[in-house]
Amino acid sequence: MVGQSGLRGSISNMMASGTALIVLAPIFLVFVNSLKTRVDASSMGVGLPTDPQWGNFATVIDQGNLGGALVNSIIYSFGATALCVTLSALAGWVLARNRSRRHRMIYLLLIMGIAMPTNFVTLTKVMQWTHLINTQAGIILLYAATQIPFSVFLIYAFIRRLPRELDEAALIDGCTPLRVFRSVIFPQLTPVVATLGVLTILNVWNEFLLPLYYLNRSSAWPMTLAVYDFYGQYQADWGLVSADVVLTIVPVILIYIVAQRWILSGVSAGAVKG
Amino acid sequence: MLKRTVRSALLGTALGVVVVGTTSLIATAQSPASGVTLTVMASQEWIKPAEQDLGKKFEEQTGIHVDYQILPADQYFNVLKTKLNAGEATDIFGGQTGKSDLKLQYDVANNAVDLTGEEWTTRIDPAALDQSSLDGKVYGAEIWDIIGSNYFVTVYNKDIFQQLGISVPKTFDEFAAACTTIKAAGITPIYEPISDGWHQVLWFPFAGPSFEQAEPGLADKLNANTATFAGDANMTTAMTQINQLYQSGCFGDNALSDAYADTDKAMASGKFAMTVSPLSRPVSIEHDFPNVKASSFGFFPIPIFDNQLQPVHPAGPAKFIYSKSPHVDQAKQYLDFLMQPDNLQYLLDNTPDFSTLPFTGVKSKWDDAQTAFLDTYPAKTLVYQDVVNYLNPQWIDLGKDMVSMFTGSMTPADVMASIDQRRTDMAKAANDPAWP
Amino acid sequence: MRARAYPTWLTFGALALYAVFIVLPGVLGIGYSFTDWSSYSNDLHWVGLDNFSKILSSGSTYLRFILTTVVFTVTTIVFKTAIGLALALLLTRGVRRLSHLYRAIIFLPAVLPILVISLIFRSVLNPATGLLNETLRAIGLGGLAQHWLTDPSIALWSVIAVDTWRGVGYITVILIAGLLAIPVEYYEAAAIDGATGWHAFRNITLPLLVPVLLVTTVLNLLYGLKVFDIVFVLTNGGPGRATDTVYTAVFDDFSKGRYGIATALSTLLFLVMIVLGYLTIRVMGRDDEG
Repeated sequence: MVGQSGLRGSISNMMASGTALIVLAPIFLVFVNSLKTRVDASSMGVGLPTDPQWGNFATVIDQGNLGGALVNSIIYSFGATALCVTLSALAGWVLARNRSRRHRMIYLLLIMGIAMPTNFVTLTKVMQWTHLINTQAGIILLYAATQIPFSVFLIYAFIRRLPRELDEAALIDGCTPLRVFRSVIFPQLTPVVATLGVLTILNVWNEFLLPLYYLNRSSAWPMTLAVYDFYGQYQADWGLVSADVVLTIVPVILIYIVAQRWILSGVSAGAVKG
Repeated sequence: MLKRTVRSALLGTALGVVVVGTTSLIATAQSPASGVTLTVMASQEWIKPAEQDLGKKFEEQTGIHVDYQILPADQYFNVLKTKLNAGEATDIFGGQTGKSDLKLQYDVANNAVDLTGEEWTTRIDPAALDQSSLDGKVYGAEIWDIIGSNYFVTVYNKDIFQQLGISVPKTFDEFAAACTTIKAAGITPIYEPISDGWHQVLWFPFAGPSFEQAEPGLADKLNANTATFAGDANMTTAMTQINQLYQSGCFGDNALSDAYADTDKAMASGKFAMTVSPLSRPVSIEHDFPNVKASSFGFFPIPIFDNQLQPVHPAGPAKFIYSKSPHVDQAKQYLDFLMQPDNLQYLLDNTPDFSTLPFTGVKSKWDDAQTAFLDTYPAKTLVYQDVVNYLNPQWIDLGKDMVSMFTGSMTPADVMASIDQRRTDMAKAANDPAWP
Repeated sequence: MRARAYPTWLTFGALALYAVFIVLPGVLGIGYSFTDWSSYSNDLHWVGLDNFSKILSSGSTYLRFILTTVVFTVTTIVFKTAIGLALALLLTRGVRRLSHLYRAIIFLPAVLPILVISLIFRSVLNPATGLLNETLRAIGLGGLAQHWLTDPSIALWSVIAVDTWRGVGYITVILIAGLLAIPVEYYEAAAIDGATGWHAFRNITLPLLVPVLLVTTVLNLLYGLKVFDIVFVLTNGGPGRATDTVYTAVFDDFSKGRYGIATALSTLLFLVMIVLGYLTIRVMGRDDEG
């Protein structure tokens, strides 16, 4: 069923655009309200701002220490992702290629992590025991750990689709396993690594509970926590809140746009056997 | 080709992270002049912008940097309790005062520094001091407007009352009748923001003084477990009256979705005649809507159970010094600084929602209507959640039950029984001798 | 040879991180389900299956939360799959140009932080001033305006709707790949025999999509059982307790200091999820070569 033209095509286009609008409308709300005064923004309406408050962004950046927070978010996201993806790729590859009994059990153990509930109290004890509590290195390790189960899951599924011949050729040539991985496998994992990379960066970027518990200096906090400076139980400045939200999600949207090609190919690849 | 691009992209990113990381770590490692950073943990809204200004002044004077950590309100108590239990709390932590909270939520005996005998304890309102104390020792510094922000009263729009010929109601029946008149005129009688989960509860414990007046010693009996909520006809009547207000439409159609943060807007619009709010409400309305004058609003006590007594509510957010903090002296220094008379005045003058602070020598910002109210209804009895144990900690649950009551899945009697059940659970968990 | 070529030690990096930060606290946490752990006392006593029997006994409020969770899970599976499939068909068969753009847009909600979703939808669904009702009134359908998040009979459905808005893009994208993987020749052969449209869909598309649908179903299943964020920020389990799920109950118990019961509840759910997770692995790993 190749290309649709005529009436059917236009209806399809209309439906697609309609869906896109429904999806985009709420996001548009946040952008539009970020430029309103406190009183105007309190209804979070769709009307365009009558008196654009560009100053909202300056206020938010200053009061929320967003400059430093942005740097922190970047370090945590990219750092944890690099670590997680590398370790998960290595593990996923070995587990997928060599399905011994021991490996099967390791795989199931790792996958179980997708369902495991987080217990902050016992986790605090572990963070203290490893002396990693309240350190930036510690939280990066923690973030990486939380993303490992799904990462291994995805890589494992994808590797099974890669032909073994290349591996075996390299092995016969006398390459060590690590060398095989580095020169033969990793280059082929591009779509999955890119997908996983972007999804992991986004997950870590949006995290706010782990920093609350495990970082006790606000200078180490990522962007997601700054918004709580601007609204409370009794008072709210929705203009400032919207401005902060815009600044927090713009990097997210940018990363997403840049990588969406890789995401969309990688996500499906993990789920579908060709 | 793609492989190479990807590889260089990855290398570039890695390099970038290293560079950025190093520079930022260097940047954040800049220590304050004295080398000490004081960490302060608080829930949303407990740290006013004026206090942060004072924090900067403090740093200029002493070289001690104050790091304010503002946490989302939903998570605050979970994070605080976890950190207290693990020995990881900040140098200063915020908390609500009240004996139940001090004992059960924060275990102040173990986790907070004894502040008895500090200079400022002689200047602070004794009721506030009492709320921050347990077993005779002072633990908390309650720098909060416990009158203006804590006296919840019925704020009413004088113009609407005048237009409709309504006089200030003195009994519940008069109040209900006033609602009917207002509703008939097409105005929503009461703005009741239920969506936040805590506001609708206020109606009940603020009638406490009247319960006490009708049955002297009731609070003590409740604490000694010789009386229960469900077994008390008066309190059950009160809950039934609140339900009646909802069912008869006095709160309007949208109450379940209305938000407290929108109260100023709602009252300024003239679409609502009354709301339960702190005394500072009219000032706050005029602040956001300069053409709506504070003088167009008046006050009367919350009229549930014919209540004509304004309760005192001295419990509020306070600062505690963590007992395991390595900077106890600096923390005390900071608290002393905050409570110096000029600094208190600065905080008061620059915080719109504060009208006064509970310290001697502070110049309050009362206007005529507020002064008139305070003179007519001198507050003597404590509001019920401050006197009756195990009531305050179940505030949100009570709120949920009340919503169940409003929407028909619980009766007022059910709600009262539920209060008792939760009190029993908490008392037993705390090994309270009154509950065997 | 294989053991040397793909040595186990290469998994140790991931395993180490995972074991220390996920397994260790998780197992310790599960251990607490069998105690009377609470925030009110520093003593700890073993209570065996006490917590579990409290949860599962008839008349306990938890049963209601479990029911709500099941309703949520089943309906989101149905909606996300049905709408996802419809959108996938639309974007592979119906729309040619800009399909990449549409796919990207539909996926966007899934990457937004939950706080943003909460702010936006609480505002949009406000019965008096929200965008949805205002739009309905503006186009003359004011009668359809509801108290979306505060009417106990429809609050859960509103939460389900917002959750679907958020998650359908992910499912759509997977299904699109599934559709694109079906060889065109099958349709051409069927067309020669005279089978097109609905017939082709039923006999070619659907059967060949089954493996993919199974995957999306299980993903939705695990997500639904564990759901917390979206319910918490939209209604906090309200009005009353109409939208409380298992995980909002866990959070609530934790907040009240009833740690033992809270961990018992989350352990119970974890067990259910392990069973289902294992099933997923069996399903997805069914046709793999050695």
